[in-house]
Amino acid sequence: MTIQAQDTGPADAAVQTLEASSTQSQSSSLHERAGSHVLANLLMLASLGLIPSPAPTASLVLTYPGQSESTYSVRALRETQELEQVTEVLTRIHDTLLSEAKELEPDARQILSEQLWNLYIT
Amino acid sequence: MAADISEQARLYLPKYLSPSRTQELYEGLRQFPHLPDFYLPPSTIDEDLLQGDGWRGFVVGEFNSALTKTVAGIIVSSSCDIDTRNPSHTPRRILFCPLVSLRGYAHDLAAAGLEERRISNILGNIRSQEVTDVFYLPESPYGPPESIALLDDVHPHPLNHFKGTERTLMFRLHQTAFYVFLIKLSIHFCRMQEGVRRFAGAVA
Repeated sequence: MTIQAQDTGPADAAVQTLEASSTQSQSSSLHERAGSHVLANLLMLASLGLIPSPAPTASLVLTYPGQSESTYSVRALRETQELEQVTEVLTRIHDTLLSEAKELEPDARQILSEQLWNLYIT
Repeated sequence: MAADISEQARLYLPKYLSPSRTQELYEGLRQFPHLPDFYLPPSTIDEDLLQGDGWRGFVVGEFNSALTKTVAGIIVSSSCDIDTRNPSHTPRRILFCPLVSLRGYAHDLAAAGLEERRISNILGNIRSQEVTDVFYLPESPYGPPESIALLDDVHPHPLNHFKGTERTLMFRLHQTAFYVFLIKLSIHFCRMQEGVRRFAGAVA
Protein backbone atom coordinates (compact mmCIF):
# COMPACT_ATOMS: atom_id res chain seq x y z
CA MET A 1 0.00 0.00 0.00
CA THR A 2 1.24 3.47 -0.71
CA ILE A 3 -0.19 6.64 0.74
CA GLN A 4 0.45 10.11 -0.56
CA ALA A 5 -0.95 13.36 0.72
CA GLN A 6 -1.26 16.18 -1.77
CA ASP A 7 -1.77 19.82 -0.96
CA THR A 8 -2.88 22.09 -3.75
CA GLY A 9 -3.80 25.00 -1.50
CA PRO A 10 -2.26 28.46 -1.36
CA ALA A 11 1.47 28.81 -0.94
CA ASP A 12 1.28 29.69 2.73
CA ALA A 13 -0.92 26.76 3.55
CA ALA A 14 0.62 24.00 5.59
CA VAL A 15 1.76 21.10 3.51
CA GLN A 16 1.19 17.63 4.82
CA THR A 17 3.12 14.62 3.69
CA LEU A 18 2.44 11.14 4.80
CA GLU A 19 3.98 7.98 3.48
CA ALA A 20 3.42 4.42 4.47
CA SER A 21 4.09 1.14 2.84
CA SER A 22 2.87 -2.38 3.14
CA THR A 23 3.27 -5.47 1.05
CA GLN A 24 -0.13 -6.78 1.96
CA SER A 25 -2.98 -6.52 -0.46
CA GLN A 26 -6.32 -5.60 1.05
CA SER A 27 -9.91 -6.24 0.20
CA SER A 28 -11.82 -3.33 -1.29
CA SER A 29 -13.90 -2.89 1.86
CA LEU A 30 -10.79 -2.64 4.00
CA HIS A 31 -9.33 -0.35 1.39
CA GLU A 32 -12.24 2.07 1.69
CA ARG A 33 -12.15 2.04 5.47
CA ALA A 34 -8.40 2.53 5.56
CA GLY A 35 -8.62 5.61 3.37
CA SER A 36 -11.26 7.26 5.45
CA HIS A 37 -9.52 6.37 8.68
CA VAL A 38 -6.13 7.62 7.59
CA LEU A 39 -7.52 10.96 6.52
CA ALA A 40 -9.72 11.31 9.56
CA ASN A 41 -6.83 10.53 11.87
CA LEU A 42 -4.62 12.99 10.05
CA LEU A 43 -7.17 15.75 10.44
CA MET A 44 -7.77 14.77 14.04
CA LEU A 45 -4.08 15.27 14.76
CA ALA A 46 -4.24 18.63 13.04
CA SER A 47 -7.27 19.77 14.99
CA LEU A 48 -5.54 18.88 18.23
CA GLY A 49 -2.64 21.06 17.19
CA LEU A 50 -0.17 18.21 16.94
CA ILE A 51 0.56 18.79 13.24
CA PRO A 52 -0.14 21.77 10.96
CA SER A 53 -3.61 21.86 9.51
CA PRO A 54 -3.89 20.75 5.88
CA ALA A 55 -5.39 23.14 3.37
CA PRO A 56 -9.07 22.59 2.52
CA THR A 57 -8.02 21.60 -0.96
CA ALA A 58 -5.64 18.88 0.20
CA SER A 59 -6.32 15.31 -0.75
CA LEU A 60 -5.08 11.89 0.13
CA VAL A 61 -4.30 9.34 -2.57
CA LEU A 62 -4.11 5.67 -1.69
CA THR A 63 -2.92 2.94 -4.00
CA TYR A 64 -2.99 -0.72 -3.11
CA PRO A 65 -1.19 -3.40 -5.14
CA GLY A 66 -3.41 -4.55 -7.96
CA GLN A 67 -6.07 -1.93 -7.32
CA SER A 68 -6.85 1.42 -8.81
CA GLU A 69 -5.94 4.67 -7.13
CA SER A 70 -8.42 6.19 -4.67
CA THR A 71 -8.53 9.82 -3.62
CA TYR A 72 -9.97 11.15 -0.39
CA SER A 73 -10.32 14.90 -0.20
CA VAL A 74 -10.32 17.09 2.88
CA ARG A 75 -12.97 19.27 1.27
CA ALA A 76 -15.36 16.35 0.79
CA LEU A 77 -14.90 15.21 4.35
CA ARG A 78 -15.33 18.68 5.79
CA GLU A 79 -18.33 19.49 3.66
CA THR A 80 -20.26 17.03 5.74
CA GLN A 81 -19.25 19.07 8.82
CA GLU A 82 -18.93 15.72 10.49
CA LEU A 83 -15.22 15.55 11.03
CA GLU A 84 -14.78 18.89 12.72
CA GLN A 85 -17.74 18.20 14.97
CA VAL A 86 -16.37 14.81 15.89
CA THR A 87 -12.99 16.25 16.66
CA GLU A 88 -14.37 19.07 18.76
CA VAL A 89 -16.77 16.86 20.66
CA LEU A 90 -14.26 14.09 21.28
CA THR A 91 -11.82 16.60 22.68
CA ARG A 92 -14.43 18.18 24.93
CA ILE A 93 -15.79 14.89 26.22
CA HIS A 94 -12.33 13.59 26.94
CA ASP A 95 -11.44 16.77 28.77
CA THR A 96 -14.69 16.70 30.72
CA LEU A 97 -14.40 13.08 31.76
CA LEU A 98 -10.77 13.47 32.61
CA SER A 99 -11.52 16.46 34.83
CA GLU A 100 -13.94 14.22 36.78
CA ALA A 101 -11.66 11.21 36.65
CA LYS A 102 -11.18 9.14 39.74
CA GLU A 103 -9.11 6.14 40.62
CA LEU A 104 -9.86 3.47 43.16
CA GLU A 105 -8.17 4.27 46.43
CA PRO A 106 -5.03 2.19 47.03
CA ASP A 107 -6.51 -0.14 49.64
CA ALA A 108 -9.65 -0.70 47.59
CA ARG A 109 -7.51 -1.43 44.56
CA GLN A 110 -5.33 -3.80 46.55
CA ILE A 111 -8.35 -5.79 47.73
CA LEU A 112 -9.60 -6.01 44.15
CA SER A 113 -6.23 -7.23 42.88
CA GLU A 114 -5.92 -9.87 45.58
CA GLN A 115 -9.41 -11.23 45.06
CA LEU A 116 -9.65 -10.78 41.31
CA TRP A 117 -9.31 -14.44 40.36
CA ASN A 118 -12.21 -15.38 42.62
CA LEU A 119 -14.35 -12.47 41.47
CA TYR A 120 -14.38 -13.38 37.80
CA ILE A 121 -17.87 -14.23 36.56
CA THR A 122 -17.86 -17.69 35.00
CA MET B 1 -20.83 16.95 33.27
CA ALA B 2 -23.82 14.94 32.08
CA ALA B 3 -25.54 17.88 30.40
CA ASP B 4 -22.37 18.92 28.65
CA ILE B 5 -21.80 15.43 27.28
CA SER B 6 -25.31 15.08 25.94
CA GLU B 7 -25.24 18.47 24.24
CA GLN B 8 -21.90 17.79 22.62
CA ALA B 9 -22.68 14.22 21.71
CA ARG B 10 -25.73 15.31 19.74
CA LEU B 11 -23.40 16.82 17.17
CA TYR B 12 -21.85 13.55 16.15
CA LEU B 13 -24.37 10.84 16.53
CA PRO B 14 -23.72 7.99 14.12
CA LYS B 15 -25.02 8.90 10.67
CA TYR B 16 -26.29 5.41 9.90
CA LEU B 17 -29.02 5.67 12.51
CA SER B 18 -32.55 6.54 11.45
CA PRO B 19 -34.00 9.80 12.85
CA SER B 20 -35.98 7.94 15.49
CA ARG B 21 -32.92 5.92 16.51
CA THR B 22 -30.83 9.08 16.58
CA GLN B 23 -33.35 10.74 18.88
CA GLU B 24 -33.39 7.64 21.07
CA LEU B 25 -29.61 7.70 21.36
CA TYR B 26 -29.59 11.41 22.14
CA GLU B 27 -32.24 10.99 24.81
CA GLY B 28 -30.21 8.15 26.27
CA LEU B 29 -27.03 10.15 26.42
CA ARG B 30 -28.83 13.01 28.15
CA GLN B 31 -29.28 10.71 31.10
CA PHE B 32 -25.62 9.74 31.37
CA PRO B 33 -24.36 8.13 33.56
CA HIS B 34 -27.77 6.52 34.26
CA LEU B 35 -28.37 5.18 30.79
CA PRO B 36 -31.95 3.94 30.28
CA ASP B 37 -31.02 1.19 27.83
CA PHE B 38 -27.69 -0.41 28.50
CA TYR B 39 -28.17 -3.65 26.55
CA LEU B 40 -30.03 -4.60 23.40
CA PRO B 41 -32.91 -7.05 23.68
CA PRO B 42 -31.75 -10.57 22.71
CA SER B 43 -34.35 -10.73 19.93
CA THR B 44 -32.58 -7.91 18.07
CA ILE B 45 -29.05 -9.30 18.01
CA ASP B 46 -27.22 -11.89 15.97
CA GLU B 47 -24.25 -14.11 16.79
CA ASP B 48 -21.52 -11.94 15.23
CA LEU B 49 -18.63 -10.98 17.49
CA LEU B 50 -18.75 -7.24 18.09
CA GLN B 51 -16.70 -4.89 20.19
CA GLY B 52 -18.45 -4.43 23.53
CA ASP B 53 -20.19 -7.82 23.40
CA GLY B 54 -20.27 -9.93 26.54
CA TRP B 55 -19.57 -13.63 26.00
CA ARG B 56 -19.14 -16.68 28.14
CA GLY B 57 -16.37 -19.02 27.01
CA PHE B 58 -13.22 -16.93 27.20
CA VAL B 59 -10.21 -18.53 28.87
CA VAL B 60 -8.12 -16.43 31.24
CA GLY B 61 -4.75 -17.39 32.73
CA GLU B 62 -3.46 -16.53 36.17
CA PHE B 63 0.01 -15.06 35.77
CA ASN B 64 1.75 -16.50 38.83
CA SER B 65 0.21 -19.96 38.99
CA ALA B 66 -0.48 -20.52 35.28
CA LEU B 67 -3.97 -21.70 36.24
CA THR B 68 -6.68 -21.17 33.66
CA LYS B 69 -10.38 -20.55 34.05
CA THR B 70 -13.28 -20.16 31.64
CA VAL B 71 -14.95 -16.84 32.29
CA ALA B 72 -17.35 -14.26 30.97
CA GLY B 73 -15.73 -11.27 29.30
CA ILE B 74 -16.37 -8.14 27.28
CA ILE B 75 -14.72 -7.80 23.86
CA VAL B 76 -12.23 -4.96 23.60
CA SER B 77 -10.99 -5.68 20.07
CA SER B 78 -12.57 -3.66 17.29
CA SER B 79 -15.35 -5.48 15.46
CA CYS B 80 -13.57 -5.27 12.09
CA ASP B 81 -10.36 -6.80 13.44
CA ILE B 82 -12.14 -9.93 14.65
CA ASP B 83 -14.46 -10.33 11.68
CA THR B 84 -13.29 -13.47 9.90
CA ARG B 85 -14.84 -12.18 6.68
CA ASN B 86 -11.94 -9.73 6.54
CA PRO B 87 -8.83 -11.46 5.21
CA SER B 88 -5.91 -11.86 7.58
CA HIS B 89 -2.48 -13.37 6.96
CA THR B 90 -1.82 -14.14 10.61
CA PRO B 91 -3.90 -15.89 13.28
CA ARG B 92 -5.99 -13.34 15.13
CA ARG B 93 -6.76 -13.05 18.79
CA ILE B 94 -9.72 -11.49 20.53
CA LEU B 95 -8.85 -9.10 23.32
CA PHE B 96 -11.28 -9.20 26.21
CA CYS B 97 -11.64 -8.06 29.80
CA PRO B 98 -13.07 -10.64 32.21
CA LEU B 99 -16.22 -9.52 34.00
CA VAL B 100 -15.82 -9.05 37.74
CA SER B 101 -18.71 -9.42 40.16
CA LEU B 102 -19.45 -6.06 41.78
CA ARG B 103 -21.45 -7.74 44.52
CA GLY B 104 -18.48 -9.98 45.29
CA TYR B 105 -16.15 -6.99 45.32
CA ALA B 106 -18.43 -5.12 47.73
CA HIS B 107 -18.46 -8.18 49.96
CA ASP B 108 -14.64 -8.34 49.94
CA LEU B 109 -14.37 -4.64 50.77
CA ALA B 110 -16.63 -5.17 53.78
CA ALA B 111 -14.72 -8.29 54.82
CA ALA B 112 -11.52 -6.26 54.75
CA GLY B 113 -13.03 -3.85 57.27
CA LEU B 114 -13.80 -0.82 55.13
CA GLU B 115 -16.54 1.41 56.51
CA GLU B 116 -19.94 1.18 54.89
CA ARG B 117 -19.80 4.83 53.86
CA ARG B 118 -16.48 4.33 52.10
CA ILE B 119 -17.75 1.25 50.32
CA SER B 120 -20.82 3.16 49.20
CA ASN B 121 -18.60 5.95 47.89
CA ILE B 122 -16.36 3.53 46.00
CA LEU B 123 -19.33 1.78 44.40
CA GLY B 124 -20.93 5.13 43.60
CA ASN B 125 -17.88 6.29 41.69
CA ILE B 126 -17.80 3.02 39.77
CA ARG B 127 -21.51 3.14 38.93
CA SER B 128 -21.24 6.68 37.62
CA GLN B 129 -18.43 5.58 35.26
CA GLU B 130 -16.04 8.07 36.87
CA VAL B 131 -13.26 5.57 37.52
CA THR B 132 -11.21 5.83 34.37
CA ASP B 133 -9.88 2.27 34.19
CA VAL B 134 -13.16 0.58 35.10
CA PHE B 135 -16.19 0.07 32.85
CA TYR B 136 -19.36 -0.48 34.83
CA LEU B 137 -22.06 -2.90 33.65
CA PRO B 138 -25.42 -2.69 35.44
CA GLU B 139 -27.61 -5.69 36.09
CA SER B 140 -30.40 -6.20 33.59
CA PRO B 141 -32.64 -8.96 32.27
CA TYR B 142 -30.63 -8.65 29.05
CA GLY B 143 -27.24 -8.39 30.68
CA PRO B 144 -24.85 -9.91 33.17
CA PRO B 145 -25.08 -9.67 36.97
CA GLU B 146 -23.95 -6.22 38.09
CA SER B 147 -20.30 -6.28 37.16
CA ILE B 148 -17.23 -4.35 36.13
CA ALA B 149 -14.51 -4.75 33.52
CA LEU B 150 -11.03 -3.63 34.48
CA LEU B 151 -9.51 -1.99 31.43
CA ASP B 152 -5.99 -2.92 32.57
CA ASP B 153 -6.98 -6.58 32.79
CA VAL B 154 -6.99 -7.39 29.09
CA HIS B 155 -6.38 -10.93 27.86
CA PRO B 156 -6.05 -12.52 24.41
CA HIS B 157 -8.01 -15.52 23.19
CA PRO B 158 -7.26 -17.04 19.76
CA LEU B 159 -10.16 -16.15 17.48
CA ASN B 160 -10.36 -19.52 15.73
CA HIS B 161 -10.35 -21.36 19.04
CA PHE B 162 -13.06 -19.13 20.44
CA LYS B 163 -15.28 -19.55 17.39
CA GLY B 164 -14.91 -23.32 17.66
CA THR B 165 -15.46 -23.60 21.37
CA GLU B 166 -18.61 -23.71 23.44
CA ARG B 167 -19.59 -20.12 24.00
CA THR B 168 -22.65 -18.06 24.82
CA LEU B 169 -23.52 -14.49 23.98
CA MET B 170 -24.49 -12.84 27.26
CA PHE B 171 -25.27 -9.33 26.07
CA ARG B 172 -24.72 -6.73 23.42
CA LEU B 173 -24.34 -3.13 24.50
CA HIS B 174 -27.03 -0.70 23.40
CA GLN B 175 -25.75 2.00 21.08
CA THR B 176 -25.65 4.51 23.94
CA ALA B 177 -23.67 2.25 26.25
CA PHE B 178 -21.34 1.26 23.42
CA TYR B 179 -20.66 4.95 22.86
CA VAL B 180 -19.67 5.38 26.50
CA PHE B 181 -17.55 2.19 26.33
CA LEU B 182 -15.59 3.59 23.38
CA ILE B 183 -14.97 6.86 25.17
CA LYS B 184 -13.68 5.05 28.24
CA LEU B 185 -11.45 2.83 26.11
CA SER B 186 -10.01 5.83 24.35
CA ILE B 187 -9.39 7.66 27.61
CA HIS B 188 -7.67 4.66 29.16
CA PHE B 189 -5.56 3.68 26.18
CA CYS B 190 -5.03 6.86 24.20
CA ARG B 191 -4.62 10.27 25.80
CA MET B 192 -3.39 12.30 22.91
CA GLN B 193 -3.10 15.48 24.94
CA GLU B 194 -1.27 13.98 27.87
CA GLY B 195 2.02 15.74 27.05
CA VAL B 196 4.28 13.21 28.75
CA ARG B 197 8.02 13.60 28.16
CA ARG B 198 9.15 10.67 26.09
CA PHE B 199 12.91 11.14 26.34
CA ALA B 200 15.42 12.77 28.68
CA GLY B 201 15.74 16.50 28.10
CA ALA B 202 12.44 16.79 26.24
CA VAL B 203 10.41 19.92 26.82
CA ALA B 204 6.96 18.98 28.13
